[in-house]
Amino acid sequence: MIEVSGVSFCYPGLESPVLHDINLEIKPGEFLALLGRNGSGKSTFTRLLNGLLVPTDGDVIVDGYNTRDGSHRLRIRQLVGLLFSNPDNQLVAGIVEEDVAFGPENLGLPPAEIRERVEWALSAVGMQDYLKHPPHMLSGGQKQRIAIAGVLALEPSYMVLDEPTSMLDPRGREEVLRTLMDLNREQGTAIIMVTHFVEEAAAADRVVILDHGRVVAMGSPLEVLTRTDDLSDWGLEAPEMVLLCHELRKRGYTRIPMALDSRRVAGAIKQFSCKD
Amino acid sequence: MSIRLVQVGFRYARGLPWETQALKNINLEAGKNEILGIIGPTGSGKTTLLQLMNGVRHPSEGRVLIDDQDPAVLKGREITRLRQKVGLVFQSPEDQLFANSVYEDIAFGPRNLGVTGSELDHRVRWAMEVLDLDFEDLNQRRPQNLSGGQKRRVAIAGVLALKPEYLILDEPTAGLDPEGRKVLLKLIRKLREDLGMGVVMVSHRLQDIMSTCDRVVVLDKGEILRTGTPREILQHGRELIEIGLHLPPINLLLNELKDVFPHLDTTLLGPEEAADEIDRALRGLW
Ligand SMILES: Nc1ncnc2c1ncn2[C@@H]1O[C@H](COP(=O)(O)OP(=O)(O)OP(=O)(O)O)[C@@H](O)[C@H]1O
Ligand SMILES: Nc1ncnc2c1ncn2[C@@H]1O[C@H](COP(=O)(O)OP(=O)(O)OP(=O)(O)O)[C@@H](O)[C@H]1O
Ligand SMILES: [Mg+2]
Ligand SMILES: [Mg+2]
Repeated sequence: MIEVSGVSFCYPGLESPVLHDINLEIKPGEFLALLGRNGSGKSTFTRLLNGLLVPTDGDVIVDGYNTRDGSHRLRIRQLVGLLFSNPDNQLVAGIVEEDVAFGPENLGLPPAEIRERVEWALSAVGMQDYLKHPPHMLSGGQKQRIAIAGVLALEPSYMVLDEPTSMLDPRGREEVLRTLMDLNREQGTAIIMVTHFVEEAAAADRVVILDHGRVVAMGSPLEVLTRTDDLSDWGLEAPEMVLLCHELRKRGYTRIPMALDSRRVAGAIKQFSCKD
Repeated sequence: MSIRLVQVGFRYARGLPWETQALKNINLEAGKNEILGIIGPTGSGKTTLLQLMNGVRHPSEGRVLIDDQDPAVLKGREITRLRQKVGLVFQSPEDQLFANSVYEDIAFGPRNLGVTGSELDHRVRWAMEVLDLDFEDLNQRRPQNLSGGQKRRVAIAGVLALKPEYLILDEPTAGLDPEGRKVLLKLIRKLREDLGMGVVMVSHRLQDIMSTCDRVVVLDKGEILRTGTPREILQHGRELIEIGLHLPPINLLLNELKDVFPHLDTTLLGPEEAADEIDRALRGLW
């Protein structure tokens, strides 16, 4: 579990804190989506989770290790893998297999174990056939999956991803999201993902919304993403399907259920037409 | 007055084994006072096309004419003057912020054009204001220390401050929050209406393109597959899906309802129009 308690954070040179009194528990194996307007503090928050930044006030405790305590730094970096949006900046080696091996090599693992981890991580993201490929010859979605494999090879319990799909086209985005959902379900890796795509947040177990450095909402996607007026106050927008359900209800179809997925909504509308 | 591409082709790495034909047979005109959208799957040539339009790259075949002048044959000051007309916001503009303050970053371009004094100050303030960047809060901050979305806004502001006649935007909404996206799309329409600017934009978010553009070009494998109004393009939803694009959720839903309501208009935009149409269908009013 990652326990975030009473956390505030202030960048040196800035007068006011960018995070205020954040309290949050992230459970092993959960899939959490983090939303919020530009500058609300999402990236700062992700950097606090693996100790890249240390809170000004309060504590972040990862499976019992406080990120304040420098002697746990390596252990925490291994438990919490962090990934950013631009895959081009994260791939370091000339071929895929070396790139994925980079992290485990730094941990000083024996070569046989490294090989095993590299193969496992690449197959976990569906890229086992690209071992000898140069990463720059791959598509954006493929590159980002390689970057994910690089973090996976460290066998983290928690994967923190800061807008991992923002540089990708819809197909690449779908690829990466599916990879993350599979990892979460099959390997039990906890996923903490920052995104500006509400449709992606719908795939999570839990959605947390930050506004001006404070947690303003927390709950299941259906609970949080249907609060249309609040969402626009926070600089966000409800998914198009939710807005459509609202419009249909306004037109008298009050029994249309709220749903985030177009197939569900289509099903409900078809039922209406059968009844008539 | 327009940017015109005549029989344009473009090849990367000419003469090398990995030569890539990124564009071929492109005939296209982007006018002033028009918002042109370009969509296409990854690798279809969108970025290459935009770079040809402002003369940072020259075509391997055919000609590009900016207000009837060919940037490939101009030199020195003339080419600089021509490029000023066409402001280009790159796909990942955050990488190009380099000044010590947000103010200096935005002022850099216009200052290079010889803009000084109160006019310069006015432009920087205007560009920050229209992009929802709080001047007092941010103008002296280091661009490198901004959040992702703030950086993107600063990069766009830097191009706007040039007051170009044509504005070319490569994935401008990536990394912006939903409100910022709306602000930018509204701004694009306003620039066209108030200043008669010609805008060309690329986006993977078909909602953004369809709600903002007057005309849309679909690129696939370096060629123009189709040109039309947003509604005309949405009539070919299946074709868009086949080449790897994702329809906006509303249009996906309307397409899913088609088997029950064969006459349903699947080209509608936004939840309100769609709800009206579904309401009509359910009441059997056609
Ligand atoms: N290195 C830094 N030094 C000083 N201030 C910073 C630094 N990084 C971020 N900030 C400021 O902290 C605030 C929160 O930034 P953060 O990057 O966490 O936001 P975000 O929610 O990730 O936004 P976005 O959606 O734009 O990526 C912003 O006001 C930003 O300007
Ligand atoms: N600098 C380059 N050298 C060689 N080939 C390139 C270069 N830049 C792009 N290409 C190739 O040219 C083709 C068109 O690329 P382009 O960047 O224009 O596509 P795009 O439609 O903008 O894609 P995306 O949606 O991923 O941004 C692709 O096949 C690409 O691999
Ligand atoms: Mg961020
Ligand atoms: Mg591109």
